[in-house]
Amino acid sequence: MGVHVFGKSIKHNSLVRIGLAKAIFGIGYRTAERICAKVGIYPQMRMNQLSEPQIMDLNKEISELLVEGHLKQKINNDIKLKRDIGSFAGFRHAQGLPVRGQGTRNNATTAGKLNKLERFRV
Amino acid sequence: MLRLASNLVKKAPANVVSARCLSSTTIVQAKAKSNAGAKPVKKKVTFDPKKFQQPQTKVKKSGMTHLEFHDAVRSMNFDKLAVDLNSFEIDNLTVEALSEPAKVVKYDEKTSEKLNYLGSFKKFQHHELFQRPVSLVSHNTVNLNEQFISKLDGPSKDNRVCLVGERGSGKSTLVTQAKALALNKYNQDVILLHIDLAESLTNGTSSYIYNARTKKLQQPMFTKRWIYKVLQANQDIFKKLTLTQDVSFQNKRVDHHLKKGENTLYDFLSLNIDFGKQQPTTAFSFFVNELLHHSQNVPVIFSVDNINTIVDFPVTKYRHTDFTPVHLSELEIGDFILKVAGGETNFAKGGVLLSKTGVLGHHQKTLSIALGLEEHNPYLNKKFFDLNVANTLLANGGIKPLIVENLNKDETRELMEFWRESGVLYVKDYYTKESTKTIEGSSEDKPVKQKEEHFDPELQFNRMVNNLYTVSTGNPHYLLKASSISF
Repeated sequence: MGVHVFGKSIKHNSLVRIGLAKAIFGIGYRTAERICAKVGIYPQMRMNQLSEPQIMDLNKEISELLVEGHLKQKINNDIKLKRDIGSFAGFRHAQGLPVRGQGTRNNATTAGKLNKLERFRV
Repeated sequence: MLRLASNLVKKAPANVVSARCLSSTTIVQAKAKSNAGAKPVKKKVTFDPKKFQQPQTKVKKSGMTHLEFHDAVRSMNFDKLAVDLNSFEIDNLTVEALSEPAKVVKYDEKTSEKLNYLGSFKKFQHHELFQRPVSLVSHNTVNLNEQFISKLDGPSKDNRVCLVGERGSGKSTLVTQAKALALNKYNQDVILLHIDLAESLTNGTSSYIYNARTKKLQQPMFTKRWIYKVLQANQDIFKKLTLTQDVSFQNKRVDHHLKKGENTLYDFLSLNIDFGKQQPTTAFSFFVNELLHHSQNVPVIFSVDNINTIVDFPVTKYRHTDFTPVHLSELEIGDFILKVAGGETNFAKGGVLLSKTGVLGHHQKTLSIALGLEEHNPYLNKKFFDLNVANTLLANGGIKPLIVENLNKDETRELMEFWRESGVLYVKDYYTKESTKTIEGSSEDKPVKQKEEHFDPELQFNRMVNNLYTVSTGNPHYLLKASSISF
């Protein structure tokens, strides 16, 4: 059983602030707490205790934030911009190497996985 | 068999070239030599789970409980297996019983039921060891009777006591005893308002809404639960108290108009569901006003257990819409607690009994400074000391601290005696004396001696009392833990 918030199914017995942070890209624990405080959801409230108006309020608050596809698009665009202007960071992204001065003698595998011109497929 | 095998080996040379040829190793070696150029064929190893499955004859049943051990002990009704206390001559807890200190008492049925509703018998007090809750009248009970119960006919602002003491010294038990004594003294005509876990007010487990009229945050879920407990515990007295104002409200689309002097406080609390509504309401302030009015005739005891969890940590888990944290004084019930504890809200007859929990550390200074146990340091960090809360508690003459001491040796002995009789304490066989005696019939020249062992349970019990009193320093929690509980 899941409760649908912002098009995402969130486990019914999870705390609202944790469920939001886990399910929605671009919302962390702190942002989730802020949203809950704004909507008037108490800290220990669980997803299955949400009423319809509260879910609508949450949807409204989240839709005002830069989350999910839009945020992914923005990250992709930022990387692309760096590459286009020919910056060193853009160059490193294109090569799949660490961007922020880390060494590459060892342990650059994460950079190899993540640093691409198109980080997210939107 | 061995001979047969050896014969076989001996006979073998007639048919085979050498005896070694009989063994499989030589044959394999020979094969390996012949196929030296070919690759060794690997046998494919597959896992067949059916081979390892055992036939299930029994249907698997779920366990006794889903709870963890500590909770399970309490919830599995072990009290029904305990020794029947009716065979013991245990007196009820009365004011007269205090003349004999160091005595185990029980609560009478009516009182016990009321205290149960209020949550006075707490989770880890090990009441499951006995058929019904019992407690020891100690010198602390006598002190509390002198300092608190005897002053219940006066105003509550002059009768404010806070129980302080180390962990497990019996502060919560003393609060329970105080309520039982008050009920006994006034023949059940006392209003008991008790908050058993003060932290549940601030830990973010209740819904909250802003009431623009009172400018406070209401907690409908908490208030509803608390009012239910108060109603159940005080229904007899509430049925006698008539309303002093007319009041109208709606319940399940039915309009109720309660009239002053006609309807009772019980009617108001049982019919009104505004306490739990997710809308601003004035029901709680109406209830408080009624209590203030009726306190002229009926004493009101307001008690809060674990008070330091809210006074020492007044910043709650709740947040305003702008994400600033909510202070205790901004909550409707939090404000009520502070006002009653500070003497601003005064019941004409009654008292305020607060109790600290010993589980928390000693870094927070608000309560200890407010009680005058420590001196105020103006350079204290704000997170360790809240000046406003301390000033509120210090108003109207301040709160008197009552230091709950550990049991003395006589009380310890009395308590352990009761535990022994009720089967909680097990006195092990321990041979206290060894002597030798001559066996009859042995020759006089060489008498055969045999060890004779004596067991004196009383001596052993005395030894246990001395030992456990030293180990626990008379602290009831550690005494019980050291003597009978192994978890």
